[in-house]
Amino acid sequence: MWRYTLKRLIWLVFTIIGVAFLIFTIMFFTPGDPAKIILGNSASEAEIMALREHLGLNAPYYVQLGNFVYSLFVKLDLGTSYWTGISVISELLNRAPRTLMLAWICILLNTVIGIPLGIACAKHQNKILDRIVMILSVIGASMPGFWFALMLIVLFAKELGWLPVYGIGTWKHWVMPIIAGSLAGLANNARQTRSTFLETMREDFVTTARSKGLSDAVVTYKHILPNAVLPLIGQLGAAFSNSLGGTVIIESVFVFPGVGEYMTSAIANNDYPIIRGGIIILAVFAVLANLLVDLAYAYLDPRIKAQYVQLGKKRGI
Amino acid sequence: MKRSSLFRLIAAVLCLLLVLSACSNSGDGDVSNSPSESSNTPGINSSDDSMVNQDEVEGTSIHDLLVVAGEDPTMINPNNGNNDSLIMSVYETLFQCPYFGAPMEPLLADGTRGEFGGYDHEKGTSVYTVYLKDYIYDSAGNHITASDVAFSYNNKVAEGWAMQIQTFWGEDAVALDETTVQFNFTRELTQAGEVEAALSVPWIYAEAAWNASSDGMASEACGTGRYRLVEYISGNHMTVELRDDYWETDESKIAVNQQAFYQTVRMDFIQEDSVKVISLDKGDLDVAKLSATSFANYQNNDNFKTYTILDNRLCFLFANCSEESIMSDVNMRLAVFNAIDLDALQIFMGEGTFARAYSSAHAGYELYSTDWENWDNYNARKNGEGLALVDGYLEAAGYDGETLRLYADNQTESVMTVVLSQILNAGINAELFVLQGSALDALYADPTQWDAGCGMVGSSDYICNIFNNEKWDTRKLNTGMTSGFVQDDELQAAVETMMNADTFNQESVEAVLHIIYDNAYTMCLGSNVNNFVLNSNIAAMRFSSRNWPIYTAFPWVD
Repeated sequence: MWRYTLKRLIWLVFTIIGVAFLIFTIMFFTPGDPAKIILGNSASEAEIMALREHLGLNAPYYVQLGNFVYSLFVKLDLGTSYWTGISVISELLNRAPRTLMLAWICILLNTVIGIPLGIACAKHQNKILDRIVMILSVIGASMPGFWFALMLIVLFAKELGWLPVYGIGTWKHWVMPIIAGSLAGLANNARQTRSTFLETMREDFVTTARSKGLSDAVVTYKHILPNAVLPLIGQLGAAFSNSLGGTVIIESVFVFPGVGEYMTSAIANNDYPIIRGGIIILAVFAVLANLLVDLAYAYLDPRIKAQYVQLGKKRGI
Repeated sequence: MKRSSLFRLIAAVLCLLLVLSACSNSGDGDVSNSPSESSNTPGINSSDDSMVNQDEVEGTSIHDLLVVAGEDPTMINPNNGNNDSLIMSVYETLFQCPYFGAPMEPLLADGTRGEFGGYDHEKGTSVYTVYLKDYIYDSAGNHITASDVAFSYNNKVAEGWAMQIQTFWGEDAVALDETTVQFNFTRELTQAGEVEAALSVPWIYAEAAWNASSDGMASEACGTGRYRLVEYISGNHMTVELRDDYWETDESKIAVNQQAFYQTVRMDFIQEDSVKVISLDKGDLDVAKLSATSFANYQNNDNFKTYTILDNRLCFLFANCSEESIMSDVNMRLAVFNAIDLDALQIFMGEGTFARAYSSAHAGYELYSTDWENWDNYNARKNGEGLALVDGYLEAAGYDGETLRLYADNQTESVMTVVLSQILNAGINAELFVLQGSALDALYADPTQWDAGCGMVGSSDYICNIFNNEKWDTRKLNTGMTSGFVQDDELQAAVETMMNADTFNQESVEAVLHIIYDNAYTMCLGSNVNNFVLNSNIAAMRFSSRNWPIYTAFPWVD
């Protein structure tokens, strides 16, 4: 497996090269002039040209690409924002921990609460607990996150006064963003777990396990759960790869300075270095997430691990 | 009742509750698409003008903390003194115009020296000599001298941020001695507002402060202003603190808009209207700009003060006058512009959100004349009077049902949606396309791709500078035409006469307006309304020369 892992990590470098080339080319040929956006409509051609010269936008495509590739792979520098003049890497390093912590706590909550809820619903199918949780799941999954976030503010900040309305600083500032960010994922996890659990419960091997006299707990957690949770691994992987940019709404409502808001502003302002740097980082996350998902699959399902090993032997790795 | 029926009933009740709660949600951030329904909707004349004044206010005190809601400036580089955040209180300029339309007065410059109160200039030359006060220190303790002033200007140009001074910037500024700096521009500054642009816009900072910064002062600030920047978290907040070592100790020399009433001022970058409303009600915010719908709830609330002000920027509809467009015919342009009912537009956009225009400016600009509101042209018509003229113009243009291609960006999409419906209602086929501002620039350069576009234009000082851009002045582009492909020598001559500081007066402005309206080159639709809600302890609002609020100078009365 370690060879497989190493190979995937080597491919990560080629992926970054491909993404870098692609995103640079797309941004280069996208209509729009960052200098004109920065200076505004009243700027003259001379003013715009001066700023373009300073930002290096007047150089031909291959020169700009060369500079970008050199900065990225030799100096490991994602560039400097046209608007703020601040290094993209330093700003991402400032914001990413906040966003990642928010996203990963939400993922953790979704998993820790959603999966057991789903199991409980499956084991008590069509009973009162199942009905209530499923109704709440449908509501949670279909409720707009933006609206839910505002309702949390009205309840906990305005009416009860327990929590601050917005911002960062103390642990209290994290409570509502985490609740708002977890809701949809938790609801989906619960429903998905219930569905796959019910499917797996009806398999022959489960009947065999029960007929052997194994306890309900052993049947549930040793036989059913490893099989039922496999589809969820894929979902968790997708959630992980989206964690950097997927909290933009939460960041906007709670004035939470994160990567989502950073990228969104950059797109509106045609701030190429931030867009390029952000997408490269997102690509790295996506590749790592896929790798982790594959490794998790191999760990949980011996059949998949055996497939990897056989494939490796055939290719002489 | 059967269990299945019970669950169906519960599900139905929950769905109904969801729908009702969604319908009752109000105070959203974007009200520009719906007419205001509240009976307390403010009209554009509902503001209390005593809230904005340049007089001294009695009974003021230094309050500990003021919290305001604002937009993230994203850039605090002193070379780009072009944002309305608290950073305005950190840096200062050689001269200042204390408020919108005010004459220029010395700030860092020494008004006791020089023929013009701080500077010398011999008519007919391009040399301007500015005299500096000799006791200016920034928040890091650096003594500001003429060489720092020269450095500030030269560095601004070298970094590509020359902006308003680019068109006349020549050689580097030179420090003749400790308190004298000389500018040698490429020409004499004869256009209205150019001297102000040269001497009252660029921020001054110490060369030592620039060299000490690790990122070109992109994330740090060190200026001569009354406040120092203590914290800036992009996307969250900015905090400034009152300096106890401000260089000007003579209170009589401190202008009203430079007064300080707060030990600390924090600007939180809140985007959502609902969050601002809740924060105001909780007392977490002292000042916020709100949408009309949210603002209406504060109009008669004794716990708050309110003020509305028209935005400097105006929304213009401009025609593609090239031969490739159906708008090349003046009759077609007159038909389209007369089809637009500006009073109805104001109602649809929301009375507290948008104010219609009667001419190519609004009453906030000096030299604006209310006489223009009664001129006989499409811009001044009221209650849809122009609609009766549309058919005649269409017939004269020989209109045969071609589709008019209208373009807007994100800022003007709401307005143009209403305009589109009015144009369609008048019997003109039209289609609206919305593009990002950057993509629009590329499109407008191709005369075959569009017929009319909508954009925001404004001036931060004189009314003539509304027209100081490519929509009316052919000098802004290298094509010899305006961005609407107009090549009108009479218009260009009138614009240049108006722009000249010696001939800038009401007569020259009206000459330009007459040509614009006779040829139907552009139409001013209106401007946005800024609605401010303030803590009741705030006695007045002070605005900069660009009509940006100077929060640190809002007098506080306990």
